[in-house]
Amino acid sequence: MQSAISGEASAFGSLYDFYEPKIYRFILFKVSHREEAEDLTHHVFLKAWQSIPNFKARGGVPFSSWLYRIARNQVIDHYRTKRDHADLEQVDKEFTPSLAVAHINSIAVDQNLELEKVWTAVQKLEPEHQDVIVMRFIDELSVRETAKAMEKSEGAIKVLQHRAIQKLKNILTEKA
Amino acid sequence: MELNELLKQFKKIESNHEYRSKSRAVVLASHQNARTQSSWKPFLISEGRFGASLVMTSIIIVALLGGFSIKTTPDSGSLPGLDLAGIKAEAQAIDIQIQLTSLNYQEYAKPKSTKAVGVAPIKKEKEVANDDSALIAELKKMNGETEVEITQPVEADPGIDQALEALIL
Repeated sequence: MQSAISGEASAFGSLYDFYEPKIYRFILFKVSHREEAEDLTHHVFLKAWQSIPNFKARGGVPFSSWLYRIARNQVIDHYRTKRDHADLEQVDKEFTPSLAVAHINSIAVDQNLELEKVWTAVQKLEPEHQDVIVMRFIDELSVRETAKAMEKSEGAIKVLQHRAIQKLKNILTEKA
Repeated sequence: MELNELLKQFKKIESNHEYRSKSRAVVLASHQNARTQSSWKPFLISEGRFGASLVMTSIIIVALLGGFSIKTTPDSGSLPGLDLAGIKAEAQAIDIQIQLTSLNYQEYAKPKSTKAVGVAPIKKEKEVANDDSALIAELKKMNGETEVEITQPVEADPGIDQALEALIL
């Protein structure tokens, strides 16, 4: 981490390899568009690399949380821009649950349907609930890391996570 | 399957390998920003500049308004019914009175000091001269010399006379 902060490209390359899939997943859940998710993930790491010398100044924030913060802001900016320039072409290209599940290799066909349902249910959650589900249960961030990424207290994250799971379960039962 | 287990299945979602390697190369090839200074410093500098400009503007406004008000204030010479000659004469009269008062004081004070300082030394000189002449005459008699007048006339200070005259008058 220190080498990456001091500007060593190979050290940051290792961080990229470790965090890129997590950030990509997080963004994909938010934008539901493969190319957009890739583009935004690229921008997140570009921004992180360019501003990593200032990372040390942000005392107490883990690197993972810092990356997720950048990703969240990128998604917010993306939606802001998209809202201003929305057109029909973009809507047609939207990601479908089956496309999302198609990303997952080596899964049984019967699981495929279940995963599609969960994907659709997660999309119906509020943004904060979505974030906490992805960070805590998919990317397996600690409560502290999630709290720092979402700029909330650890207690608030525990409450949020409980509510998010309850809502997700409710959506899935309603569908069933 | 448990919800938790289903969610963990999404961990297998990955980006395109080609995209990943390309993006990684582009990111690492880009230049890093120089370490920026404290986030407060530019703010303080900009605020300082703003404050300085505000102070300068207020100084200029005060100077302009002040200059204008001075210019618009009527000249003392242009006041109707103001008798400058009369004021001048009055001022001069006050000066004269002061001079006269000090002169009276000097006249009152001067003779006293002259008496104390000027008269006493004359008396002393005369006494000393008499004592000395008697002693010298005696010594000369003993030596068989003829008596010589050694006493010199004491010159009176003309200033003392003037002061005395002024006191009498």
